[in-house]
Amino acid sequence: MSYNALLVLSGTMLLGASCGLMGVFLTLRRQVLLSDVISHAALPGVAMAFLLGLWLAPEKAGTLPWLVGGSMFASGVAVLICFALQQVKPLWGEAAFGIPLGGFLALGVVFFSIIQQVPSGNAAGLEGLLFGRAAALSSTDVLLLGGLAGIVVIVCLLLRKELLLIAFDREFAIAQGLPVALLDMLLTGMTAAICVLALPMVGFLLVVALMVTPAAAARFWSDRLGLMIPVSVMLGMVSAGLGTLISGQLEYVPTGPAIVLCATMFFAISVCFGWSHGVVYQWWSRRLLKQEQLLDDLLRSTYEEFEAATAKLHSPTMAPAETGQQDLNQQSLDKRLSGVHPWAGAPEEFWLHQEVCFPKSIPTKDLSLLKQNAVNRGCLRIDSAGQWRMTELGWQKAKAVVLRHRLLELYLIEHAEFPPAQGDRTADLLEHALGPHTVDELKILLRIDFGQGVIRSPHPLEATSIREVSP
Amino acid sequence: MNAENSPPDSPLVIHDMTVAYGRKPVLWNIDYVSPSRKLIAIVGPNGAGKSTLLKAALGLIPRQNGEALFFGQPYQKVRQKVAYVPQRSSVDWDFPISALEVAAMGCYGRMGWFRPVNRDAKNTALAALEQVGLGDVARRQIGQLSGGQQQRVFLARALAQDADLYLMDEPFAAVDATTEQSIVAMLQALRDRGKTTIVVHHDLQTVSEYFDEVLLLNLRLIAAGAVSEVLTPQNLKATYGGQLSILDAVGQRMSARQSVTS
Repeated sequence: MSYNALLVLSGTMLLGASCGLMGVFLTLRRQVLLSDVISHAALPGVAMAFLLGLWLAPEKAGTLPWLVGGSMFASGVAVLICFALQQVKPLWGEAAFGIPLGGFLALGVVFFSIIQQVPSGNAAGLEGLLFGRAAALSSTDVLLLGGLAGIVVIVCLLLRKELLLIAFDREFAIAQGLPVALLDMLLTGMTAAICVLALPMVGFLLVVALMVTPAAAARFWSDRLGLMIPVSVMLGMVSAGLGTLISGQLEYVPTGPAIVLCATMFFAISVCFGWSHGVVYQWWSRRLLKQEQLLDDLLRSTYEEFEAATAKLHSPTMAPAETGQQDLNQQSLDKRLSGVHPWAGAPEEFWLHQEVCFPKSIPTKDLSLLKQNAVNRGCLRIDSAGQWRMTELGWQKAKAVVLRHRLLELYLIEHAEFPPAQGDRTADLLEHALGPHTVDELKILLRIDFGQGVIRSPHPLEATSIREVSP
Repeated sequence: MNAENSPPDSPLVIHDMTVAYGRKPVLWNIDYVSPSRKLIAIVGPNGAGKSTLLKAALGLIPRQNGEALFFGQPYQKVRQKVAYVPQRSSVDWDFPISALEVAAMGCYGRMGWFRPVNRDAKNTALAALEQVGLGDVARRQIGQLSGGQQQRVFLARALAQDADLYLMDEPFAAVDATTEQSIVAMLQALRDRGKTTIVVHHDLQTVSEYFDEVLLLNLRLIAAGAVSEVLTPQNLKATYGGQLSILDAVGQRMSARQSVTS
């Protein structure tokens, strides 16, 4: 890569980064349309500067400083017109921006048609301003554009706190004595400057996209400005770099579209996978959460089976008073216990009866996923006889899950005055949201001291009459 | 009472202030000298100009006439000693900013230009959030907080400013009874530390319970002073009763006539 190509590349990357930075402020202030006005007003500015240059200094017409100066002037006028129109009563915000935008664009097209008639007009290379042609920039051009962009970026970073404040809470900023109108003007001026500086690179039709897209993409990665700004800057920089390289390889592709396509691709990735608001990421984490909940349910139902079986074996002659519902549930109980056979006492040797332990409510497809998940997490294993068995780790987890459920259930019954049956169902819904911190709080609140054991279920579990089980 | 011969340390002195929205006057000739180290309520019916009084005193909306002095000086000179808590509504709740960062804004005035938010400011902000009971949600994005919590974040921002006079616009709007109690306790603690607080309040029932002083307002200042002296049936009738309709009608007619002549 030649020195000039390297310089152009670093220049466009710097401009891309500054576009990403300004874009954050633009989107936060909901002023996207403003950058549209700025870039479209640059068109007649450029044309006028060219014509003026032809008249005043023919040999310099069409050089970058002339064109940048002309477009900055025209953009500044357009912004002032917009702000003035906003003060006029029956106009509403969007119209105050949209109408000057259209007017300046039309003016620009008319001027360009005139330039086409001028003998030297075609050779001026003004077409590059439509879609950008980074490769055509000379090293002095790059130094000029990059230097100006660098100044804007430094000012912006220095004033970050103040600019943030006027974007977030204007009234408070005024009360704090910040010169809000001045800062507004400064920020708009800097936006205009970056917009115009990026024109030779991306072209006036697409410069808005390079400002807004990285910032919008960055919002999917973070809820914090402190992270959003670097992400947006980086996306702008990488898009600009990649786009310049692509258009350098395929010479017939203008730089602007190549850069904006890269930025759009990053945006699409962010919308899907951004870890703050990305839709695919959120869908995936919800799915993982669901799996987690199903695993918890599985562990709990298994534990309760084990509890019931222990009770049956250890106290085969139960007092009828303690098992009021025994008759009612006798049938299902027998069925359950048949599944528990043969069982010799140690929990690892307790095998899971398919029909009873695995939740019935979930589809077969999800069930196999659940089993796989349980095996992967070391909670279940398949023994040599092909039976599902709980592992040591599985028992540990199951105990915690059961404890959590019963604590919550007790809490609902004792403190929220739920009827016992409803307490169980509500606890089913809420228990997955409890963190270890809340569980500890519940223990203290319910004044239960039970060491490592598990408390008895508050509602009658069939055949359960034990206070504590410690496998 | 004139601004000139009032005690120089009075937190807020309003002298002959008149405010108009467009052509319609909303506050007429307000004269008020606030005592210091008190909890003061501004009470009046809807549209009485309660919020306007605070905003106009701070210069957030233009005054037609009159002046407001804070600790004997214009607001521009003593901004750091005055903290204003606006009604909870004017900000973008999707803004990527945490409760802690909002509270830290209270320290901006002390920090000066160009400086980044430092550890000191963050600690002050965190302490303020803890004071309003939001220590454990400090890192949350503000949109994820409940309405009452959002209101308290803005209180914390005012606390972080460590001002001597607090002006609060309906801090009890949209908060539950528990939050209201905790905010009142906080305000009383501020008073016991020698601060003055002026609160726009719309619930007459709780005025005597929460506040030391009250300011009855309905387009004009009806009465101001200690709660027990001011909350009389006559004053309340003057504030909430019917005779104001005449003042209101005059205002309407004035605005109509001006729009014809201008």
